[in-house]
Amino acid sequence: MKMLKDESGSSLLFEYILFSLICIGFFMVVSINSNEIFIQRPNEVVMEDEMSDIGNMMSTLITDIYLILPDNGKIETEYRIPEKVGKETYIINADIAYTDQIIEVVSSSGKTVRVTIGGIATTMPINGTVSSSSTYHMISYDSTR
Amino acid sequence: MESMKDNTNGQWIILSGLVISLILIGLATLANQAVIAGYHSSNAALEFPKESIRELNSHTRDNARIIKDLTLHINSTSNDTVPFIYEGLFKNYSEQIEGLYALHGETADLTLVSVNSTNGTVNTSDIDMIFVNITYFDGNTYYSSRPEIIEVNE
Repeated sequence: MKMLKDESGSSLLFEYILFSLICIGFFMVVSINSNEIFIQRPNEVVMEDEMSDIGNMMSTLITDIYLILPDNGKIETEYRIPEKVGKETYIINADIAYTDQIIEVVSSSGKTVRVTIGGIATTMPINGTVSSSSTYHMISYDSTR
Repeated sequence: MESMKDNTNGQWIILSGLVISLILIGLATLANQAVIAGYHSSNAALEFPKESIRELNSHTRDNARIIKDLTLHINSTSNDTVPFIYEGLFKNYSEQIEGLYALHGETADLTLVSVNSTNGTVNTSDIDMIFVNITYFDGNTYYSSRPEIIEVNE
């Protein structure tokens, strides 16, 4: 019962030390994790977005080319892509699985985003690999080959 | 005035104001980064001159038919042969198209290859197949159709 009635608190100095220790501890935890929280995670999200954006761009481009293919002739088109997503260079793989065209965007750390165009591969399959750090990127089609 | 100056209450409100403003700055920076990223990557699909090429193609097809009708019309009052008149009219058309595309900074080239007919009589209304070479270039995209086969008897 004595504890309940005792109304005196800790001394001002002790409280000051206690409070600063708690604050310093909190600050340390935050600063140790800040790289993960403020840099890594947003970068992840941004990379995911940008890679699927690039994959979608490639599939739109391929569909557009497919729409205007000449019966006898050829198309060559140069396109521009950003050199880096997030902070990494990346590779675009064009592959075929059964009747589907697959466009795979792989970053240098191994993060992968795949975009599929269903059914197009039987008519106009596209194969090839593009590295984002090279200067020119091109899709070409030749009906005579 | 004196009492306001001496009143030192409300430290927490001031402090929380500071904390909230710092949080807002942090959020604004993050939002900014997310907006900037992924902004410029999907340009190429818009740059691809799909409509220009399709138009060039369909205009040529349409005009090949119109030129055939015109040719037969002119031929009925002229001594020139059908292929000769057709060539002249097509040359006019291709010059105009090349001029129009050049205005947009695109190179289009239309060349008449041959006027054909399945039964071999080119000098009458029997002509049914026109071979045209179509070439297009806009600096990024090269398109060529050699030859584009156009059927003109409907």
